[in-house]
Amino acid sequence: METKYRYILVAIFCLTLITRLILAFTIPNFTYESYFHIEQAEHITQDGFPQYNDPLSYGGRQLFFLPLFHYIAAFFGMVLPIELVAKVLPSIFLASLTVLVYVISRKISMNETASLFAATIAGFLPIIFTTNAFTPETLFLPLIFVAIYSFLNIDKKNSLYIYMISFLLLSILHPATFLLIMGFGIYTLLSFVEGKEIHRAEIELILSSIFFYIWVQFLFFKNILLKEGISFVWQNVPPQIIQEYFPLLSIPEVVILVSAIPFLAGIFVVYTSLFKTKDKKTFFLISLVISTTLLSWLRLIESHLSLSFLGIILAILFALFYKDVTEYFTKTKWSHLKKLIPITVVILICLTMIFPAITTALDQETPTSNDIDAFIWIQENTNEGVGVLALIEEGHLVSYYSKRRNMMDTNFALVQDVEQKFKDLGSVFTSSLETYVLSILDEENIQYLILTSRAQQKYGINEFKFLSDECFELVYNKNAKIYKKHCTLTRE
Amino acid sequence: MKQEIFTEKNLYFTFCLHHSKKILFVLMILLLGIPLLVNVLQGNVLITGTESYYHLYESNNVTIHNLYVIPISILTMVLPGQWASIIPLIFAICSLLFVFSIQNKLKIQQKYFFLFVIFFVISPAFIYTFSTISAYAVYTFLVLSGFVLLTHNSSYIKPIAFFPFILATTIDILSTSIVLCSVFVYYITKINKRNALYTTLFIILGIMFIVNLFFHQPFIIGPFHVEQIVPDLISDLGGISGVSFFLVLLSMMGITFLWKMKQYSIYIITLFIGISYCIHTQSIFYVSIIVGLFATVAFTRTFERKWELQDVKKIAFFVFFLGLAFSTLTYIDRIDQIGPLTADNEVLTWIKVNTPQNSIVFSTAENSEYIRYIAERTPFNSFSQDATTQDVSASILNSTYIHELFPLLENNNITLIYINKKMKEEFDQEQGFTFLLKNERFKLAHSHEESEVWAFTKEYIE
Repeated sequence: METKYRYILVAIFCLTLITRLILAFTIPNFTYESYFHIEQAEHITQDGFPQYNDPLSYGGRQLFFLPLFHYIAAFFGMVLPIELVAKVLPSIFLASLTVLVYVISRKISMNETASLFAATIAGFLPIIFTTNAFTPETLFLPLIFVAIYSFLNIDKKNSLYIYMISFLLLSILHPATFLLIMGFGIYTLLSFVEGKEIHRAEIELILSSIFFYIWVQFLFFKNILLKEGISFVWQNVPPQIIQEYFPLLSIPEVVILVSAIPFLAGIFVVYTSLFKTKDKKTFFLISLVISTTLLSWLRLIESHLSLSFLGIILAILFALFYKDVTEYFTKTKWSHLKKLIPITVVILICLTMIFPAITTALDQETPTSNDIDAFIWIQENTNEGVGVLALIEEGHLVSYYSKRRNMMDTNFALVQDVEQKFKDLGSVFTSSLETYVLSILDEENIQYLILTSRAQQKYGINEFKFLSDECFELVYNKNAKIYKKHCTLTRE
Repeated sequence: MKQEIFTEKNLYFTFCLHHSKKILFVLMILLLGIPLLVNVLQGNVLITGTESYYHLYESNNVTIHNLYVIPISILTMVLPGQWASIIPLIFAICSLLFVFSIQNKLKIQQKYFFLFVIFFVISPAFIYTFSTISAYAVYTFLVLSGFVLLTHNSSYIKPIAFFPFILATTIDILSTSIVLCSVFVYYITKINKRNALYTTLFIILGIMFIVNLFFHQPFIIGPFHVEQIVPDLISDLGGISGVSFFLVLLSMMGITFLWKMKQYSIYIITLFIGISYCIHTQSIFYVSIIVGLFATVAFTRTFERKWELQDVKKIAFFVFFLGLAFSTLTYIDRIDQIGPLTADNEVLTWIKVNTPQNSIVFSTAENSEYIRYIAERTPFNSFSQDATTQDVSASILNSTYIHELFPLLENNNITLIYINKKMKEEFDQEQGFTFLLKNERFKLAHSHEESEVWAFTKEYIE
């Protein structure tokens, strides 16, 4: 690589990283689901193992998840405060996508400038610009592209070992590694249909990957598979909120989230690659696009993850589009306008990507500092062993800040009657019948209720509708409100 | 790094081939013996599975339609009570010895034979079939004994084969078809000339097939559990039986390999067995044989050839067997849960001793054979009931109000309700059928741990 391009790549990486870090530290807290992962990383720093038996979630239950991300965070958490690690590490992981996208794009397009643009697009994709999310997806995305890059270079000896290590890590990082497995399957099928011979080494690697992935998933999720069978892929999400996890997005919504430029460029490249050039490397990337779309349509992976993955693939394919456009211009009588193309692309990227990316970051759903203070107050002023009712997304805050039992959180796997629980939780916020609410609170063994600013906004209420002075005491009132239950329904 | 795994150059593989029979025998004893031993040590009921109790009951009521239970009848005379739990093990040992004998006579290549039997023996379908007193365990024993006798050198021994074959045809139509086809294929491929004995046998089996159709013998025996197509196929998804997911994956590869080798006849059999499985998942036993066959082909083709990535070959081989072992061990870990539990046995015995003999007991269909054999009472709900009775049973289990429930119980003369641990986990305790038992017309007659029997009084007592 020429030095000039190297410097530009480093600059893109630094720009992405710095932008992400600025936004991450400007927005005070983390996204709601991040607190579960922070708690797990903290537990590993203390005990050396993840907390698979959680006494606080749903009042006590077993958790099932892949622990690699938490171990990595815990490793850094041994020398740095965990909350600092939680802000910095995801930004580094996702900024590294710029480098990975560059090397992959250069491999398929053989064009440095095109690859740099692809890297910039990947760095500022709106869908992955959630700077305050501390989730395994932040490591999953770069790692899967390491695996993809090494698979594309499988004829090189070191690439084989890099692939094997990255795939091993992916298998213990996130179940969505199935995206890659499915991509392999579609790649094999496409190659067969097009009469393209697949390299023997690729077939061997695909076969081994499938065996290894399945074995690891069975190892970690054995109990869920035995109890829930194939329906475990839908994670036991209550039907009332399944739309949040697997929304059916329209084309305009997808275009906004992955940005118009890579989307349109991607369509063009898919068309030319499938029907004209039929290049094997592009086949593989297109197979991944197809597998992502298929799995998302079948609601087998979460939409957010599938769109993130899709966006990055489209960013890579943009490099081919750019190369084709510049080559086309060279052949036309407007070849003198060729030097305007990079400037045009830069302007388009700024207009269509950077501002939406920053907006995405600023629109992240994070708890306010006042709400966090309320959760901390619960830890300092209540007895251990009490139960706290909060919104479902705030369940992890109850565990993390308050260190108390929650009624519900977003880990639904193997929870009995999750639909009924969700309904009951919603009823507490909407019902005006005190007796009915008391029966729910008694059944769930809840002693405190917290009405955060988010809950107030969500349900359009300033206080619970069922309150009576005899049964509920307002013990905390600073924007967020905390009530203590004094009554119990007695049953004969 | 050398990559001979599956060739004679590999010492371990050569050792396994030389001692294949011992290895297979020990493996089978371990896989079937461990669950039995665990039950003995934990003081659990040793005879497990609804089908076991069905056959124990049938063995006391032998008719022309269920002659296949004769071996069970004979063995239960020798092994009464809980000793009957080793009957499936006896069938397994005899079947394996017969298989070794047939392999010698037919000169099946050692490595393919070894692999196929390993894949088959470690499959949950095999473990389940030969851990319970099941029809297909008897069938395997009878058919293999028939072939051993048929292939005997002495012409006086050969006709004895007729008896086990005829007994095997009294199970169901599918089993009769398979034994008929097997004898026919053996006749035309191995004998290859006119032979009065084989012709007679084939004709008799053909007549038995027609008789089965005439007497409305079931196509597939059972069912004995609530059937689910996918979990019953892949044991890792929680089914009562099935095969390992890895084996299914490998068998899919085997299907493509055999297609390229133009071995089309196996596909006809596969299609037939596949359709049978969709009708009743009870035929998983035959499915596991087909899966084992395809998996053997795929395994040998995949691991015999030279790989470009030698290290990856060893890893793939290692992970594959780890995966198989994991599936088997996970299954063995949960096989002791298939029931009946000690508490169930205690309560059902109480029913036998303390209730009128003409009592009709209501419970889920899965408990029907326990009620019939252990409690010696008539179960209202069972898998073999007619559609009307099954509708009534479903209505009872789904009822949420007493004005729905009481008429159903009264009109069907149900006086006892048997609830076990599994039913309590399945049914909501706060509403529905089990909640309605709190009404004063139900009296808890007896309970032990989580098993209960409730008496339903017909008239309202003030």
